[in-house]
Amino acid sequence: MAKTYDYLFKLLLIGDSGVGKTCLLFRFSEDAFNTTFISTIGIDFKIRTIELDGKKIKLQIWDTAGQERFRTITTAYYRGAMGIMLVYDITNEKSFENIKNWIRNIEEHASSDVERMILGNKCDMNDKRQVSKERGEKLAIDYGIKFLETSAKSSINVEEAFFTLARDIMTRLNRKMNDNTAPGGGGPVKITENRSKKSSFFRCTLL
Amino acid sequence: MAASIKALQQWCKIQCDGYRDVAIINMTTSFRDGLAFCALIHKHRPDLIDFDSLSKENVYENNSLAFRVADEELGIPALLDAEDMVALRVPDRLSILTYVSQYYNYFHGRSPIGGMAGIKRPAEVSKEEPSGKKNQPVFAKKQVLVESSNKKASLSSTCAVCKNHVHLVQRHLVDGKLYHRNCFKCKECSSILLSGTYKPGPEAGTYICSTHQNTQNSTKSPPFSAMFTGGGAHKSTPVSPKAATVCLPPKTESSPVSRFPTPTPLPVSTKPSDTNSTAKPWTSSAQKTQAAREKFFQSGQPTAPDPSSNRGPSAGVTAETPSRVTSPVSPDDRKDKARSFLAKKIPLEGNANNNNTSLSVAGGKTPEFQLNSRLGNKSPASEVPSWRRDSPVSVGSRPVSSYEPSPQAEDSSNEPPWLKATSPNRSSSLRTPVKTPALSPGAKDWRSKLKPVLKGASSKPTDAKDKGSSMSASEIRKTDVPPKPSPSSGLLSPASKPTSTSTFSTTISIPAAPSPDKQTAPSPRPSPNGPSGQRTPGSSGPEFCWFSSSLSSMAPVQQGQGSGQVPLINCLIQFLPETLSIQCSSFFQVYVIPVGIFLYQNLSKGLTSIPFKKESKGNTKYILNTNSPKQTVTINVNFYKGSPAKDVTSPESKAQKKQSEVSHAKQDYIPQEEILKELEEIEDHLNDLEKKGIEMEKQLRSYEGEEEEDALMVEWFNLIRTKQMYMRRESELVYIAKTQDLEEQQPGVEEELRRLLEKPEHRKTPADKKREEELMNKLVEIVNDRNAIIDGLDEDRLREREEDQQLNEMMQKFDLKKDKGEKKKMSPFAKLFKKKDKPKEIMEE
Repeated sequence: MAKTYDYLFKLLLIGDSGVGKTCLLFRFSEDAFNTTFISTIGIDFKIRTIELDGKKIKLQIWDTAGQERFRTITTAYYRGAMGIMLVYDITNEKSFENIKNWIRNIEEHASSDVERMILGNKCDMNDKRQVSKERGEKLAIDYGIKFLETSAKSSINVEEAFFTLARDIMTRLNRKMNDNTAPGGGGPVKITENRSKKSSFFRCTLL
Repeated sequence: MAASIKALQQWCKIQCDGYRDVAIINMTTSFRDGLAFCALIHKHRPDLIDFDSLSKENVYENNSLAFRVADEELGIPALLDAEDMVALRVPDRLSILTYVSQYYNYFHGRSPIGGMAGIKRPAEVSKEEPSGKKNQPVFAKKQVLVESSNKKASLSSTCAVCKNHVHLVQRHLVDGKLYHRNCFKCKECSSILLSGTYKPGPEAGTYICSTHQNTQNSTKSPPFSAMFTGGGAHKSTPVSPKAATVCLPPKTESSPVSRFPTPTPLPVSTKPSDTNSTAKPWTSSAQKTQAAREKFFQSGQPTAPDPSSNRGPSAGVTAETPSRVTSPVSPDDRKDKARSFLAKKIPLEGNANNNNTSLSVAGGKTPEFQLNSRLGNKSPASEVPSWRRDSPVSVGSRPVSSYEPSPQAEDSSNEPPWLKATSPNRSSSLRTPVKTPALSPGAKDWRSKLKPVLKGASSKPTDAKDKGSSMSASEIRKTDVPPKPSPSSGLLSPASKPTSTSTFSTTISIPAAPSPDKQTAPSPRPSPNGPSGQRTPGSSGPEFCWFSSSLSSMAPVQQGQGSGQVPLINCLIQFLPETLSIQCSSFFQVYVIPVGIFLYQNLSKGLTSIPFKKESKGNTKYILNTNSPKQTVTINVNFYKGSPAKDVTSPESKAQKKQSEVSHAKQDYIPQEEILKELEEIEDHLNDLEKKGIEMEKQLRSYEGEEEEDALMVEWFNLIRTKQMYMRRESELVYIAKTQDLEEQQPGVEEELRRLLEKPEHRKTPADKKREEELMNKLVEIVNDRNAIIDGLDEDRLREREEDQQLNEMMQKFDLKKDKGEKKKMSPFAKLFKKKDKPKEIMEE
């Protein structure tokens, strides 16, 4: 059967309740937006397959509940993630301040080489803005990770965000693979095999 | 051509060099005492075998040990039997070659053909065997398998069930016993057991689907399968059963529920499960009990069947290959098989389909969901189960008042599990159309065959109304179902709304034996937590119900019917023996569950009698079979204003609307019928391939060393490859079906949970809290199960990539050796070599 995808990447969305994680996911996976606020319960995920550099990447994007009461459930899913989006709401100062807590959360529960990215969502609501773009960028630089302001409602930078994260994961993956292609993989055994075969052949020939 | 065999032998020789009492001089007797296998294992994994403690006299023990260790620790299924090694003076060369080649592949840096190293994949065995077999031809090319042909009879190649000879392509080893793949069936429902989907049965040496429980309910056979059977044949839009239930089913009911065999693809083999069951077919049963419409309102909290059952099969499955279709028996059997097949596969995402990871609960809990969602859904395009309709009443009809009660089953515990299942906690939850998450569009050919899914059918008129009433009991769930635009239209957009329809669903219980109770008025039981209902026991008379509804035309309709009209449909539905009689003032479609019958009648008015008679596959008429003493069937009737649309989408509640918005045509939602149908086709193909494989094997064995062998070998490879393809596709379809089913369940659970969560703490009763916890667990479980499917698919993908690689390499080696052989003949040295070699070869042979 034709392969439907080449890679499977597991992504995770975390952030305070109400910052727009689910909407970002909804926008990315279904290209739709729901104005009603429905708090996510526990955890959920959606799938979308994208194409990156000619490869099909199946993205399994996990959407966590921001509410504290679901914290135990959601942290269990950090470990499996290859990439994590930290989302805050530009119209909510508190959510921005909590980013550092979320980062700590990641360090505690996620794998060490997870790719991360900070998203400042709801950038369409400039009139209610409480966090400037510069502050967001600065925070990201401090942590050494990428930053984007997005709007799930207006579909701004949503695709870019996920594509970027996926690309970063891909890069890291490729790097790892290249590092692993050190000589001496399965060669020796085979060589021995051949040699022995050849030698017996040779011996026979000589005879 | 013997070069590859020689190479393998040489490798063995080298590996076993230095081991006491092991001398590899041929590929038969040298291996008989089992020490060679042990040495091979010990050479690479000394931790697994204590070689020094072995003695060449213990032929059985040595072989047994090696086979078991290789199986359990290395994931190399045992192709040989220790008893055979004892019994035969000269073991079967072909088998040894195949088996040893697996060792080679494993220790030589690759996983055994057809499987990931060390990971047991029951389903892979089937791939392994064919791969193994293709190995044999390569290795054994020039060998005359005299011994093997002579020993075929003495080799354990006799099916433990039917006692007939088992050909290579059919081999299915389980617990040391050999079966035809087609013979390895569930004791209870007689459907073919797929790897990872069964567990040991009550009696020694028997197996049952892991979804069956060894409880009293086990006598109830898999009528569930009946549900799915019909599916494949129906292209029209089945009405989703309205099985929303509110109250929690007692735990005990879980058994029946869990019994529910995962829906099997229609195509699955046909074994008359019916005959197994003690229940009489519905049609022949004189009594039918009209299930309370409240069935929909009964919340069936499916209790998960014990998860261990899911594990059981995987544990037990070491060297078995997924069973394929048995000889086609009858359409009914096929359906049953298909159902149980699918049913078994479905819940065990982890286990099934080449993946051994057990899923939590998956199997048991979800069957009912599966069933429901499977059947309930829809029309190929429709996703929303009609039961979800929260606001039947709000539609403007008078469900209860106009509804003349029919006898209702009262004893829910007697209900077939799946029926209960049909009304899981979905009280109000809407099953939104499922989108196939895992598949990327366009990758497969078959997709193009699918009708475009019309998702997100117009927001349902009922949405706005009475969301809260979802919890309230109403006997008749009416849903306004905007029929989908013709499938060929592709995307379903709100703009292109079909005529609106209304759906009525009722459930009747059909007891096998006459029940003393007569028809009683169903009493709607509104309950804060959702509709509850009960069914009266069967009565001897015809069941009927009167239903009056209105068609909502809130959604824009294609035919230009203005909005705001609320035409009234009057309908009398009578359930007579073997006939469903409908008198209706509108066009209607009828979908019957569990049989999965879709009876589509195009009537404008008047009375129509729809006989339930079994016809051939492909026809839409089936007998309502009940294998259980008492069975409930749900009849969904879709009424249409104007000409019936081909596809019907059920209206959705708001929550579901959100989901339905989500499911665009870009999502590859595969309707259940399609899945079943395709699975059926695959089974047919596999059957054919198996037949060809048998033929080819015979030919190959007779052609040893001759020229025709080469060409035949190539064909053999192709056959194996094709078979692999089909099996992969099959497992993928099962994954898809399971995923879709889970996704359908999810919104419902979420809805109810949300409601509970929003309740202020002080107002929560202990039952509420308990329920909240249950639902939360359930939700997490569903998500985890979906995840397990994704992971399983990914593992399969990786494994398949490996397999393809190996197959290609094999073919290349094959071609290469052909060339090499010819070249050798050219060079004098080669000739010399060959001459020198010949005596050895002859010795070996």
